[in-house]
Amino acid sequence: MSDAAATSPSASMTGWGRFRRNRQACLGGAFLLAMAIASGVALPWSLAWFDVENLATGVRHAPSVKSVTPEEPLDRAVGNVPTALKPLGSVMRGAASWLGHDELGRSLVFRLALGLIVSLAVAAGATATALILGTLWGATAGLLGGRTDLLLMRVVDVLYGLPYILMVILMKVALTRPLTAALGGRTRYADLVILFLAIGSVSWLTMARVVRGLVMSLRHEGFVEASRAMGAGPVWIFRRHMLPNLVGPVAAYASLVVPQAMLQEAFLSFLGIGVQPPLPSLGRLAADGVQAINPFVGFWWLLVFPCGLLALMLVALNGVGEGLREALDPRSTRKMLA
Amino acid sequence: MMRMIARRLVLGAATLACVYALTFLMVVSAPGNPLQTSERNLAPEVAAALRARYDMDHNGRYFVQLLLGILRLDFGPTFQYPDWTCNQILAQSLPVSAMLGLVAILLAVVVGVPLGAMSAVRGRGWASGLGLSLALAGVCVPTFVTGSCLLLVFAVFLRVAPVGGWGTLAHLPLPAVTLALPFVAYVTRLTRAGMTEALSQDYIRTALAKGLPRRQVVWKHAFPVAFLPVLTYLGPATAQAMTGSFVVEKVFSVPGMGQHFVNAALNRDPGLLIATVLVFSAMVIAFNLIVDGVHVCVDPRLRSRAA
Amino acid sequence: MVRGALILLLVLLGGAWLSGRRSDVRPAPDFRYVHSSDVHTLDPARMSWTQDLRIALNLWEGLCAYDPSTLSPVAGAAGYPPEVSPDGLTWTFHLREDGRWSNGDAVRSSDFVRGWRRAMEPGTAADYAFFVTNHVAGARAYAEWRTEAMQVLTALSRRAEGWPLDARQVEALLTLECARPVREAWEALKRASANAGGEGATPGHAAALGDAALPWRELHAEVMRRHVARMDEQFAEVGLETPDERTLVGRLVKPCPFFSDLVAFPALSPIHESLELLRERWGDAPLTREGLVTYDAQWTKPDYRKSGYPGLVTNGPYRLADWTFKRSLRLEVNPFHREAARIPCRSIEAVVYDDPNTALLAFESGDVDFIPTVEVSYDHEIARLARSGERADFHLCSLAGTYFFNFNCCDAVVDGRPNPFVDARVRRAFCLAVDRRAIAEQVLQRGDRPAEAFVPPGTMPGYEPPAGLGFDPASAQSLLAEAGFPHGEGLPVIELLFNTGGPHGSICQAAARMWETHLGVRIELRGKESKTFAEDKASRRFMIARANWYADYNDPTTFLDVLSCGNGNNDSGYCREEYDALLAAASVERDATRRMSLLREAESLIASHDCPILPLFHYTSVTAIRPGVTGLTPNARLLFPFRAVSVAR
Repeated sequence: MSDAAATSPSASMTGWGRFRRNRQACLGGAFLLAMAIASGVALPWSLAWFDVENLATGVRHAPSVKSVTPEEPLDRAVGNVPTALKPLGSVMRGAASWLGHDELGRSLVFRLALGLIVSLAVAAGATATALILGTLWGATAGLLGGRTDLLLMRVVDVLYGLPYILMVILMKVALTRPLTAALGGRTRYADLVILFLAIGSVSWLTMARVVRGLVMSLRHEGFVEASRAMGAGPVWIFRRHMLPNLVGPVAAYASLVVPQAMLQEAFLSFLGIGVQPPLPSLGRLAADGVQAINPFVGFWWLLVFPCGLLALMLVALNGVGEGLREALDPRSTRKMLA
Repeated sequence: MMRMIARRLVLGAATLACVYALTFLMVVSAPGNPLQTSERNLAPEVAAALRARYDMDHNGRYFVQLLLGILRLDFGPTFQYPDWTCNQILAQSLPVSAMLGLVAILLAVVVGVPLGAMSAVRGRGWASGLGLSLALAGVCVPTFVTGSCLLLVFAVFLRVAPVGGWGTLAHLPLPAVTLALPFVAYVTRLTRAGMTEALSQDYIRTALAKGLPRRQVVWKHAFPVAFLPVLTYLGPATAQAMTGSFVVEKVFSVPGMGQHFVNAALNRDPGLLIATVLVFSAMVIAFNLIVDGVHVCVDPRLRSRAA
Repeated sequence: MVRGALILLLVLLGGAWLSGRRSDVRPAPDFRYVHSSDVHTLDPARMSWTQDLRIALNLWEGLCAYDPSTLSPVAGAAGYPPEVSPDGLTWTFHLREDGRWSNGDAVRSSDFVRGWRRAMEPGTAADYAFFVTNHVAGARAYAEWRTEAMQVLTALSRRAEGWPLDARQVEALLTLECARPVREAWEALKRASANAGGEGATPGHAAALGDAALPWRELHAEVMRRHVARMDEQFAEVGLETPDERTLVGRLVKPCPFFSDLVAFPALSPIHESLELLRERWGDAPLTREGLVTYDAQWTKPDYRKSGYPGLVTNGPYRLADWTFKRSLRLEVNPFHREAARIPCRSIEAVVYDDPNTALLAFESGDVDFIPTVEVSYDHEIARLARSGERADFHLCSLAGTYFFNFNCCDAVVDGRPNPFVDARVRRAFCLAVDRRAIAEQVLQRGDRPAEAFVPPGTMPGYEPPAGLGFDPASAQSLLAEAGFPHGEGLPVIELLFNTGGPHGSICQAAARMWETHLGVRIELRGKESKTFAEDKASRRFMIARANWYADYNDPTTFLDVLSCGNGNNDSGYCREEYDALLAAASVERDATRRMSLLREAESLIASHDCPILPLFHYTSVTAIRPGVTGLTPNARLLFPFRAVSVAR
């Protein structure tokens, strides 16, 4: 069922080849890369400028090529920019008005740039949480089997029976105080950590099922039986024989968790319990932009750009995820997921 | 077969008990006072009186009282709406959500399955393109955006639908379509993937080589197998859709159940929260059971095993 | 499979179409309006939200009613003005001859006593119980006596069921008067075991009371019996008398010039005697086992018929005809009301819209006639349309409500950080550094009035609030330096707590930016969802927290009392003898002008010197009224009597 040599160079070459032949995945990957580089380069400025307000002239200012933000507060806010990026300063200042301004006169370009990174960070954190929890749980169940397996999987079944949105809300609410205290009261960062822990802690269930299924099937492979016959312990077998075979399918599944986590963050923002202001995220900006959908006023840029970027990011992430799955794991996870 | 069903029912009851305990634990331990329902602070003696009135002065006792009520199918009072009991709220909102959710799921099947199958059979072409873009739009645009846009265009600009509310057929299409979109997307994707795989199987190639009409091979031989993953997905998805969606209910002002999940959690309202969660869990369990039953009927391999 | 799904879909749609047609039997209402978010309750005693109060004012009629535009008291179920004794302590209300309940019964003075008594019962948990307990003589003592009994009876009933007692309950049993039988039984038990030379007894050890082998069930019954026997006797001490069916005499603790304003409030509505049919009982006691007076919560339903209950009976111009959860409320003219024949709108539907944006879209497409308050996030644009006259159906209205920040005035340490706001100079500096005009005009843009003091100007008859602190960054900096924090050095990171949603985020971000710019401090925003916010605020886990306050009656004390020492809603924890003394002096002052000047002096103490709060702005709201609807006057508390409304179609 699963090719034991998934990690050998030739096999991964075919994987890469398969990925490269997938046009959607390549386009998505290119888009992601471009966005990551662009927002990465802009990071020093977006960190400095994302909450520079301009109440006097810039409130809900439409996109324009000419800058409406006075230069002085922007210059004052700029902190440490790496020397290599310094020459970009004037371009950045000019870019501040390209996509318009929000209700406090803050530049949408830089809020989007930072929001992209925040969203990606939350999604990545959530995926990592799900990955670690799910792999540990699933592998334990699959390896030990028997009673333990039954018990662990029953827990997963129970948690499946709970609506995930309830879990996320209650996790978020319950975790906030202890974690903020644990992180030394640095609320802004504590908040992000809580957010991805909460999202991650509801996304690990499927991961656990996938990993358990894989481990179970691997247990009956000849090479595992052979090493068990030679007296190898379960931990050794897991590390030596199973882990290499798990990497592909698990990575493929994980790449599909990323866009889901991003969408969940957007939904939490819509409820007002996502990323807290002034920090932006794509979901937060999109949820704020929904107010533009009305017959009276059109702050279309506050809706179109965040939503557009969010949708494109999700399309790209989904494309790459699908591509990865087809490349690394043509059969097995699809069966598990179903 | 009967034994399997009985076993599943016992397991389901055990799961529900765990769900109850877990939800109770979470809502009671989360910070925030469920009894404070206005913006004013609750005086300590008033809080004490309310806790005594609603059996909340002792968590252990509260756990038992709630559970005894639930066993009699009485979910007790809710603090957010003191004039209504949880049972009344469920009785008024569950049918609304169930109707909306069922329509959405059926839409997803009616639209998603043919689209997915056609895009797999035909390869490139308009069906494939439409299917893919629908699938992408469904998962990539948050419902709060699609819902608001649909409302503005169809209810305000074109005036072909009422602005929110519930009660007549005209109220149904906009929320149903909004709710269906993510499901359409998923069903399309699953069908397409299943169909692609089924068509590459040896027995299909054999059937084609034997000279059977392509149409017949696709629909009679490949499709039933390709539909199985969709069926598995539809179980929990139907339960989810039928218990409502917060966003759709808020945007279209639909008096369904989805809002109570979110509001009860945000308000830490134990009674209503536990009631909604248990209904959700019970539906998930029931639909999984139904889907497994259908599986047995559809899948020849399972049928022979069960018989 | 797909075909099956399609058929099922069509069947469902057909069913929906049929059921939709069948349910539309009621004639369309004369007037439809938006009931924003939920109907929390229709129990007038428990109401707190404006949208609920709005309905209550049309269903019930208090002793006085509100004038639709000024909200000052006018004649209601009783004539206006009431007879007031020269010392201002005895108020006599004469009920109208023609007052009728919606089932035809005459409205009697005892119905008001029932309503008021219910409002102050601990089991009712009324937000506005203080309207009675603060003002009517003996009411507070009665409420406290009942609360004590509730604590003791709850503890006893739980113990009788075998649950352990916690420290608070043991404390109650050891100290409270009504728990005397328990203490006597315990003493007897201890004596008996001491006589027997027993070792199990640990005399004098308080915690052991909870574990003692007392006849808990009998004790519970005994305490209950004694308490019930004394209830009416105790209530007779409360200063409410009904010399006859048409007269209600109230004795007050201190003169209260706005008492006729209070009696117009829904919390003091009369209650029809049929409610007693739904009283919850324990055995033959008219109380629950916990000693509470409670009623079947279904009593607000028009079609509830348990144990002979006739459904909700009200005495206002309208009666409740139908209430569908989360969908709509239908009011119809009370046929027995004295003005029934002259009320133009015979039926009214309050439609529930959760999302304010959807509500406005419904107004735009003509589905509803009236939105009391348009709360969309682009309300500034609606306000602009109203101001410029482009849309005659949107109306601006200045509210008796203030948006402000609370400073934590009393905890030296918050979450492990020193709290600089215990120093009034720091608070003053923070007040001076916020440009409220910029917040009102640039951030909100809907015409809210920048605030300097707590009481909104022009809303309280006879009262003009003092000038407070304006925007003056230079003096803010020097004040901060004086307090030992030149240019903000030495100050910890300041936390600003707010609840997420609505414009709060934008307002707090703008204010934080101003403090950072003008004072050189670092601000950290802490947005919380509303329950956590409420808990943090009430337990004073904040340095600065956002808040708002709306007037309950037309007197400045509705605002100023909030900041008095120990007030349950005084989140700042501000406690200053001088301020309380001024309020106390005003409360016994009989001369209206002198009273107002005392109150003004008190307000100026908080507005320009002590600054426990930072007033930001006084609310302005937008009301949407469809052309052709007359008789709706936007007022400062957005309470609309519907009896004058008429709709031209």
